[in-house]
Amino acid sequence: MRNRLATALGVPLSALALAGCGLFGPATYEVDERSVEVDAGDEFTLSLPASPSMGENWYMADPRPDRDVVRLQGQDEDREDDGGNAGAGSGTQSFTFRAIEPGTTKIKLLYCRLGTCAAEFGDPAPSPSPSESPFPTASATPGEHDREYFIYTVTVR
Amino acid sequence: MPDAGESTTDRREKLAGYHRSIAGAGDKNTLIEAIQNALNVSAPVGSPSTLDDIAKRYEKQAEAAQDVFYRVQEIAVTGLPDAWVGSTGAKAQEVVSAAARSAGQMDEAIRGARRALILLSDALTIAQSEDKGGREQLREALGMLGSEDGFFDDMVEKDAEEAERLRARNIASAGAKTMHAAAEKADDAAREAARDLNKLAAEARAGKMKTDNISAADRLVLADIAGPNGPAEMNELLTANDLERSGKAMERMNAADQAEFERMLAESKSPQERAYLVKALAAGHDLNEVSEFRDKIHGKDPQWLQRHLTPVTTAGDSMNNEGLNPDGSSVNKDDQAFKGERWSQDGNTCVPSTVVTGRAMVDPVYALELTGGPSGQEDDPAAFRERLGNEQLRVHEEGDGDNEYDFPFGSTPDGMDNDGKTTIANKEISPHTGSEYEFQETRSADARRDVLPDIEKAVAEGKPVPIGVEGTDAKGDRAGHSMMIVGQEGDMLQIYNPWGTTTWVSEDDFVNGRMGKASDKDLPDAYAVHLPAE
Repeated sequence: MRNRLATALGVPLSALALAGCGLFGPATYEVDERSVEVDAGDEFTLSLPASPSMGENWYMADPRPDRDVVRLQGQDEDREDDGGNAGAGSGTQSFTFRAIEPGTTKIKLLYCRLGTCAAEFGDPAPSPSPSESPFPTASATPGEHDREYFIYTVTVR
Repeated sequence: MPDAGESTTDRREKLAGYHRSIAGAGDKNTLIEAIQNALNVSAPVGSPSTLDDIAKRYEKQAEAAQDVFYRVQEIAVTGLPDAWVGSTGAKAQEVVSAAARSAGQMDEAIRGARRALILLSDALTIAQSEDKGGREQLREALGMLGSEDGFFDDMVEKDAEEAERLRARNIASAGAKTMHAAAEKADDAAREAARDLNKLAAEARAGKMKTDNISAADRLVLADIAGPNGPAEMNELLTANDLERSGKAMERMNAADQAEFERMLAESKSPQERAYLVKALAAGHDLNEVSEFRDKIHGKDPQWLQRHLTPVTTAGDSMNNEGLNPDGSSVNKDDQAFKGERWSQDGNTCVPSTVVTGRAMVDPVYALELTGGPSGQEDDPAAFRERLGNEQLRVHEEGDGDNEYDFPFGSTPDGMDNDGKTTIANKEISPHTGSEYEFQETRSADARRDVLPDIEKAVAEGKPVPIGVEGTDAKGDRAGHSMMIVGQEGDMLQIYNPWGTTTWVSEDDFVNGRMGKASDKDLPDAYAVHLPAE
């Protein structure tokens, strides 16, 4: 059995060091940090867990954030090698924004797991088909539902 | 001396290598050695005329089977009295309908076998002829080259000698290419014939149940019973392996147990109930366990039985090619769900989740524990989800899976290695199919092509085949995932993904790294299979 102690030790350190701030780049916010406060002109990144073997993906959903307040700069994904196992692959997908002018806006992301959205990372978020119920909005960490929205509130100072 | 015992795939691989050696030979001696190596590979083995003779005999037998089919079909549609003819509750109408279907399938099977043999004979004739032509070119090249150079001869090569050597190399290269193409034809044809004949043999299912404890009429009906959803021929409840194992189990019973089991079958309220009792016996349960199971399912309608006891059903349109989604997955995939709650993994448990579903497919007693709970009577998808998740965790621990710590306390599953997968497949599935699983790496197209006949045979008999798929990103970081082959029709394989879906992919997709159709483009390559032993 390989237990990932390094990750466990890394979490509190990274939580102390990186929550809402970036040491070497844009401030990085994790999935459970839904309130973002930044200064105009700064960049920030939403970094979200996305395991390929779980078929997890994140997509920008409508309504898009107010372009006068924040603008999307780029999307990126980063996989962590699973060391030859099956089902151990973790990774992140991230969205980097630039804060434009003071104000408040919301960023709405759709989380999908188990390949349920069938869209490529970077595509716009798919909508429910006419026969489906609307996707719920998440209240906890990803995984409560196969498809759920995560809403981030961004305040630009 | 050529090795006549080498497989068609060995010949194909060897000739591909020797063709490359010939084309790249930089001196006379290397070229001569490469040519001799190619000539030492045996010609395609087999007698087209013998195959043609067998095919002709099959044609006559197919005509006889067709005659039987028409005659029995006529009786089947006229209607029969509601009388029992079997010892286990099979009614006359059921038996005659099953007999008609069986005769129809026999006709189809014999014609299918005839077609497979004719195609093999044709391909073999062409392959042997092409191989012969290629060999003649190689011998011509050898004649041009003469004997091998000695040490001093090799030091100087005159222009004329070099020109002759290059000409011989071109001829030899063309010959080896022709031989390789012939070997590919023979290999493809042999695998296609083996695939079709294995499938047809597995479909002659009633004959697998070798027991005198129940009548031939009952055996015929049992082999014919299908779930109510999807086409009957793709959703038969008893696999060839189930029929064989249940027959053996009945043979081992004492007279009292035989009578008790026959009574249970006779009192079944539907053919499906009867088939699930036989399936439970085939899964290795003793009569007490089967009896307890029977009490839980007795009198349930076929829809209830299928929902609770059959995790994977196959829809009639499931093989239609509807193209690909933007993520590289097939548009046409089917959710496999219990009242909307899919047979899917919770967290990073793809390996145990694959195995849990695999066991539920072969063991209806186990399937009912998950869907119906301890009483077997529950019909609650949320409770099913909880039980399924807990079972996946139990099997994850059983396979010594990896865990990731969650700060500050607790941990969650984080994948499993191939040894763990072998362990849990052997602990969870093997006891219910009678076949131990063996791990086999398949990290090349040739290795995957080579393993296909074993996969086809296993799934045709009703033994699921767990597979591993993987992909690497631009930086070389790998992700692996577990899935399972659960069906085969022609050159298509039905793949269960523990994301809760089944999808058909072609064998060509399996061989050539297009398994993303059953998951997504991040996971294209089937790097390993767990094969059930004979």
